[in-house]
Amino acid sequence: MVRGEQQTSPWVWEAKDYLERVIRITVTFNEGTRAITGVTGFRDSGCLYTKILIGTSADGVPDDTDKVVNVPTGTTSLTQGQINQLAARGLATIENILALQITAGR
Amino acid sequence: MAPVVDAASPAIATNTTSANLTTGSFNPPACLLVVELGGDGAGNMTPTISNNGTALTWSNRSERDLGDAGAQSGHSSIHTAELTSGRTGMTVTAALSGTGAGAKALKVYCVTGYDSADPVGNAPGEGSSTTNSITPTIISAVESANSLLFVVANDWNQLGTPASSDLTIDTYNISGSISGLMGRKAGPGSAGSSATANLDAAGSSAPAWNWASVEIEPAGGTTFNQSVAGTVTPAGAVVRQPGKALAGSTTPAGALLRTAGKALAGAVTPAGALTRQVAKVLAGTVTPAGVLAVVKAVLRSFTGSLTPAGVLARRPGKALGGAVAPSGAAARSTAKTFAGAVSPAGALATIKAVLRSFAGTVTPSGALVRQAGKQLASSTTPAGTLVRRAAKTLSGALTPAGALGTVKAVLRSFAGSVAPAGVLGRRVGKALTGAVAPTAVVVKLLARTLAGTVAAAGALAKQQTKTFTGAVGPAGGVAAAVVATPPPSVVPRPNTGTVTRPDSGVVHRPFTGTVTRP
Repeated sequence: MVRGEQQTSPWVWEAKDYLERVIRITVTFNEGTRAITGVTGFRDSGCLYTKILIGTSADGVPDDTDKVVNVPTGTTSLTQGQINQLAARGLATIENILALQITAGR
Repeated sequence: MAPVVDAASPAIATNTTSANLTTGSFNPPACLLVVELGGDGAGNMTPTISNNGTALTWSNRSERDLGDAGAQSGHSSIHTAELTSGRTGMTVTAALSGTGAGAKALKVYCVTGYDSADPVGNAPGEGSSTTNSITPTIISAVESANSLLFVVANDWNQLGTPASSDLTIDTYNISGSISGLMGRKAGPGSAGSSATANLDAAGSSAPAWNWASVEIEPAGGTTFNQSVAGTVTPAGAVVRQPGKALAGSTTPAGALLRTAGKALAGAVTPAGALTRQVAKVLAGTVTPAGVLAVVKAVLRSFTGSLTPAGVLARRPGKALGGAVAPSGAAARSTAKTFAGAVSPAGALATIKAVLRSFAGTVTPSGALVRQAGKQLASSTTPAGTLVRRAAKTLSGALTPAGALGTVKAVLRSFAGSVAPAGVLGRRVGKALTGAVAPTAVVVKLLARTLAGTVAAAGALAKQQTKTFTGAVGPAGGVAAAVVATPPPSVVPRPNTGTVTRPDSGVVHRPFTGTVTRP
C-alpha cells in the first residue's frame, strides 16, 4: 500500500532484537466492518522480546498497558476468547490498534 | 575494537499519530544511547528526545527534512546521549512537532566500546532521493578505522517495508503514512575512507527518501587490520593455529605444541623437538634439528583396506637411499630395505632375521633347531674348537689348528637311503698315506691295508690273519698259534745244520741237529 491508502488485511508488525531475532504479530480483519477476526503471534527462538505491547498506561508507560499479546516461541494464534478480551479492552477493529503506539517488551 | 550494540537495546516503537512515542522499558549498562527517529511531516520539523528518571543530555547529531534544501517530505534524525552508569526500567520518548507532524518510528541502541572523549565522528551525513534502490555515500570520510555507522532512512511515500543489502536493520511501515528503515554497519577499515549504505524501497515506484547518518568512534587506541604477505617468524611458541595458510616459510624458534590442519608451500625447519604432529601435508622437506622423542607416525594413503593375516607387532618401514651405519647395537630390525651397504660398528647382540621371499609355503617335517646357511667363497680357518657343524659346503680346504674334541660328522651325499643290516658300532675309515704306530694294545678289529711295515710293540691278543710281504718279528710271546702255510717251495730252515726235505709228511724242524727229508 502507499501513503494515504486504507490498511488492507492482514496487518503485520514486527521488531528484531540486537541479533535480528524476530517477534511478529499478524492481525486479520474484515475489510468491510474492520472487525478483527484473528490475531497470530510469531517469535524466533531466543528472541529477547516476548510480548507485543499495544498502547500505554495512563502514565505513558508501554509496559503497563492492559493490551498485551504474549508470544511464545514459534507461531501462536489467539483464541476467540482472547480476541474478545482484547476487544473488551478497546481493540475490536484494526483502527483501534492502529490508533495506538506499538512496541515489544521482555 | 569497534563499538557494539548491547542486548539491552529496546524494540522499535511506532505510532500513527502526532502523540509522543515511548519505548518499552529497558535496563541499559553504561553506554552511549543512539536514537534514530523517522517521522511524518511536511515542513521543517523539530524533534525532541527525552528519557524517564534523571534526564540525560541529548545531542541532535544529524537531521534531514524539508528544512533542508533538496530534501523530501518526512523527517529523519539521529540523537545521542551518554549514560555513564547503568539503569533499570529506563524509557526514551520522542516528540516531533512541525507542519504535518504525525506518525513516527523510534529505535534506541545501547552502544558500548565507544570513544567517550569523542564519541561521534566529525563528518555526519544526510541526503534525499527518489531512486527506489540507492547506495549513497553516508559518511564522506570516516574519522577512525573500526567505527560503527548508523543510518535512518524515511520514505514519505510509504511504498512498503524497505530492505538493505548491507545494513542490519529494523523496518517500519505505518499504514497510510510513512515507511522506512533504521540500521547500522561497520565502518571502513581505514580512516579517511568514505562509507556508503544501500537503501532499497519496496516495489519499484519512486520513494521519497530522507536519510541521516553518523559515525560512532571506537574506544581509545588504534586498531589495524593487517594482511601479512611475507614470512611469519614467531619468536615464541606457536600454541594453537587452526586453518592458517602460509605462502612463505615458517621458522618457529620455540617448540610446536600443536599444529592441526596446516598447509605449507615452503620448507619447515623447527629448531625444537616435535612433540606431536597430526595430519600435516608438506610439499617441501622436513629437517628436525632436535631428537624425535616419541614418534608415532601413521601413514595411510591407500584406497583399499588393509587386512593383515598375522599379528603386526611393530614394523616401521624405512626406505633408505644411502648407507646405514649405526654406532650402537641394533636391537631390533624388521623389514628394512636399503640400497646401500650396512656396516654396524658394534656387536650384534641378538639377531633374529627372518627372510621370506618365496611365493609358496615352507613345511618342514622335522624340527628346525637352528640352521644358518653360509656360503663361503674362500677358505675357513676357525681358531677354536668346532663344536657343531651342520650342512656346511666348502669349496676350499679345511685346516683345523686344534684338536678335534668330539667329532660327529655325518656326510651324506648319496641319493638313496642307507639301511645297514647289522649294528653299526663305530667304524672309522681313515685313509692314510703315512705310517700307523699304535703304542697301546689294539683291541678292536681293524681291516687295514698297509703299504709299509707293521711293528706291534705289545702282545697280540687276538688272532690275526695277515698277509704280508715283509718279515714278522714279534718281540713278545706268541700266545696264539701261528699257522703259516709256506708255499711248497719253501723249506723251513733249522737253526743249525742241514734240513733235508721229505717227500711226504711233515718235517718238524728240530731246534738242533739235522733233519733228513724222506
